[in-house]
Amino acid sequence: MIQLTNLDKYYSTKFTRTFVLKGIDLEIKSGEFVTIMGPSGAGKSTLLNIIGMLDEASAGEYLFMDEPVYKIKERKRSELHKHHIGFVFQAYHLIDELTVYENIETPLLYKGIKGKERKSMVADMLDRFNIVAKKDLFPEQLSGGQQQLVGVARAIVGQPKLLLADEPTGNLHTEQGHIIMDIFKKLNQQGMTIIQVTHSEENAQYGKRIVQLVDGMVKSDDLVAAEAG
Amino acid sequence: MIKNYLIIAWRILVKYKAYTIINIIGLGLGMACCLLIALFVHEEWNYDRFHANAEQIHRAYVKEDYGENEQFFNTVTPFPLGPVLKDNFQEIVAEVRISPSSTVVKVGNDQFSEQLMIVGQDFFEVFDFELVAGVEDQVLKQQKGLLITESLATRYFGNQNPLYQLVSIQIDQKFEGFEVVGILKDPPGNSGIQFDLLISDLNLPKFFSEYALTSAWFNVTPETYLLLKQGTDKQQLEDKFPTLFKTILGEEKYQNSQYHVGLQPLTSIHLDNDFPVGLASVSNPKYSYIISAAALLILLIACINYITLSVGRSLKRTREVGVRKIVGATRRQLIGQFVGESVVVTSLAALVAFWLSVVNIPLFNELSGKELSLDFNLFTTLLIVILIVVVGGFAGSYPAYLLSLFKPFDMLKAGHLGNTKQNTRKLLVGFQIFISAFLIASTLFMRQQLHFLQSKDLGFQKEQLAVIPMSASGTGDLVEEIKEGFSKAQQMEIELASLPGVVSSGATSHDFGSGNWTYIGYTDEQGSYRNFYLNVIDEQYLLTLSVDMVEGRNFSSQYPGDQKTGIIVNQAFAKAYGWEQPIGKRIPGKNFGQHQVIGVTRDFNYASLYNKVEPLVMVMDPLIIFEGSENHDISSSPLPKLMVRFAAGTLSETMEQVEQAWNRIVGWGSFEFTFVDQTINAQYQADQNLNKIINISTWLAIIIGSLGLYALASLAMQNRVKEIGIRRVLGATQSTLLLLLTKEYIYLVLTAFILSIPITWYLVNQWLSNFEFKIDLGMETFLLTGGVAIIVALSTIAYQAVKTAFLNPADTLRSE
Repeated sequence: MIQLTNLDKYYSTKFTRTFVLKGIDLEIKSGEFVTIMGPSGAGKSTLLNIIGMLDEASAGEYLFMDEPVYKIKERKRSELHKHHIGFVFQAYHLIDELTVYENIETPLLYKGIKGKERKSMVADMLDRFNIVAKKDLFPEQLSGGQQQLVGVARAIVGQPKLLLADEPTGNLHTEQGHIIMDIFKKLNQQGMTIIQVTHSEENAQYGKRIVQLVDGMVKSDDLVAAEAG
Repeated sequence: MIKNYLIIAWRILVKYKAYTIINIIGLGLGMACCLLIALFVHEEWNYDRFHANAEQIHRAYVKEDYGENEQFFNTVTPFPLGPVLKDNFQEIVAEVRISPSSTVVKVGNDQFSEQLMIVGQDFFEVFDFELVAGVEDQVLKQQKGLLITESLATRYFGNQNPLYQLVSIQIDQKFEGFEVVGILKDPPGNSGIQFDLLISDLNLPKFFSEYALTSAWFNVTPETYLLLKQGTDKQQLEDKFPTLFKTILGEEKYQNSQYHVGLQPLTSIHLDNDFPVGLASVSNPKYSYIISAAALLILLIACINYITLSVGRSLKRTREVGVRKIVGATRRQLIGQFVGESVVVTSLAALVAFWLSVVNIPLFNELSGKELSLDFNLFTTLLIVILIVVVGGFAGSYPAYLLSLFKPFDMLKAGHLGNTKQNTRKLLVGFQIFISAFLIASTLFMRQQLHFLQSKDLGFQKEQLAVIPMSASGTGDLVEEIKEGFSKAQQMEIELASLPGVVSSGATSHDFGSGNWTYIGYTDEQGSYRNFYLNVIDEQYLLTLSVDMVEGRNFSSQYPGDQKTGIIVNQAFAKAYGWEQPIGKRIPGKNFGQHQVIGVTRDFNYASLYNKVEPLVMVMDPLIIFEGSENHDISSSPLPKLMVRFAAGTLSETMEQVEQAWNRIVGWGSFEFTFVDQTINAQYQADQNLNKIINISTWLAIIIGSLGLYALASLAMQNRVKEIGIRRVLGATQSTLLLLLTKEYIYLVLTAFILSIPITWYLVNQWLSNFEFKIDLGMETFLLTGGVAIIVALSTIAYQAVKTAFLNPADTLRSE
């Protein structure tokens, strides 16, 4: 599904070039659940953003579903990410002026899905995450965990193939974090490819594979023992 | 999707109420101005277009050219022109001559002074004036038939049926009976041809001689309107005229006069200032342009508010936009959302604008001299929709473009957008201040000039001075009538001399502020053609006006010769003729009667201050001049008037006594009077109205601009809270911080103000060039403008600046 070859990301000033990512080779197959770990400033989020097409690499090749991402047109690229990629953020990033229902509905609007189908898809999500009662509330009226539930619901309502999560439990209590991670695991079991960035060893155990990033380079790439076993 | 946009737009508008209100008020005011002015311009441009045949109707004009200084260009024409053209050219379907005549109408026991229109019998074939009672093709075939407008019918007959009522109309000193045979709708406000009473041209022989009506090709009285056959080329038709006039006038007269007849389309009369004014009203399109520009500037200032505020606030919305991008919004969709939002604001503003327009339309009508009304018709609806779309699109697209430009990744990190567009915002705000400074200075200069017009020493005293016409009839032999009027005035003067409330009174042919005085043209002994203005006066006139004599003496009954041979000239005349010692001189024209200059007056402003003081001759007996003049242009009534100077305090009482005297001596017509200072002032009405409009525009610009600046400053200060906190921790005092916070605004105001000076200077001088007598543009006014701009700007931002500078750094820095 994802094929990164010799990927660099750097910032240039007049005299120096600061590398954030250097020589990344990474292949992620459909159905995997990958955790990217590493110390602060290792380039984890940058890598996730590049995979999610929110940012561009400076050099190297990126194939997404066998399409060379940097060679296709902006419009096609945004189509790709609209239809195949969902995002979950540490800070939830819900739209404050929209209700829970409307927040979940937004991606479907941009996908151009018709009214009736849209309604049932959103209702399905509300149901699935047990937040039907909260559907008319605004984000500020929810707890962090509830907000992140909405964030996940919004990320997956469009049935993406790939779910990207940047520290999804970073702002949550342990309890709430477990709920989110359980959902991820279930989604992965249903066939969704998931890539998450986290500091938490415990969360990493929910996945199948751990990529360690240090100073912009892949230091290790192992399968999770428990799962492998 | 649209619904989602509207929902979020609404929620954001409600959430940030202050900004929303500032935007809606600003845009509403701007749009209201545009709405009213669009109505005004629409009417100006559609003048006379309500006639079904408007495109085919033309007004004939005549040009004569006898060489330098002796050219005549008239949109009133000889009487025979219309019929001759119609008889000779089959392209002309119909012709209508319209001749005005001042007269008195008697209805029962009441008398009314009226302007009567004598019109051709094809009047209703050519024009689409609506007849509410009477038969179109018959009413003008009756010689004794009278057509009156609905409003006049009410005035004359109240609730009675006006049809078939009998009235008497004064024709040549006698009253003749007429029967009301038709009632007309009042002519619409956008008709150049205005009238109250019409009679058929079958009556013309009672007013004018046979010669004037059939052969006087060099006298002009009526306007001649021609209805051309559909598809006639005006140019081709005009090209056929010269051959005809060569035959009619004879080769010699034709060559001498360079007689030229042309056609002016009806629809272009109202706004064409290259043609002389005939009977139809003409307005200067310049005024439309100026007030349209003022309205657009106000709208622009309001739009800039919207833009700067949206961009200023976009910082808060970058996250939302970033999220939307990530969940799949395309740039187009985002731009659509923001433009949609501004369309919502603009639509609300349009409601405000509509309300403001409805409330203010009476004021606007007063200023523009129109009778506009704001109805929900196709035009206004379309106008409002266009305003919403254009303003909404314009105001919304820049912030939308900016926001949609950024990468979502950067946007989620936030804080990124803040400083990048500072310069654009400053430029926009600077532009607002520039416009405001320009308007402030312009309105101050205009006020100075208008004040100057009112306070300038005109060379005579215009206060406490009334004009009373001695005769209301405009018919008969002019010279005879002038004589008769003067003799009545003489009797009045004797009568009034005994009234304690009257200081003095004197008779004159011309008064002030109602048009040009009689203009005389003659060929002097050297063979060159010369002009001067003429007034007929009596010995009391100059005394009553308090005009100073610079040489010689006034007319006096002690010198009986003055009656027949004395003339008084003004200094401009003496100068134009190079006379060092004018007394005893004679005007160098062969045929003038025997005369000599007995006095020279100061150059008093007998015309408006738009004009120079031209050479003027004053006589007691006009025959001296008329005997020797070749042309005389009498464009305002020369019928005698009595100028009466009143003592202060007893005006109304004295006026009653004057009326009694008038009733005894003049006895017919209706007693009327006007005050000289008011009529003189009225000449500048158009410019006074313009000044009022610019004045209102200036206030609006300042108010809207200040609202915007206030909001913008509050945003800018919020962004600097942390910086100010750090500076205070590092030891900055509050006064240095205040200076820091306000410094950039002072620079901005100063720069914008200085840049506005040349523009103001140029445009105000353009306007002043209309006047022959004008103020100099003083530096003080510019400095005052700059001071006002800085004070307004500083007091607008002061609150925010003080609030920011005095914040406790412990609070502002803690949140980090």
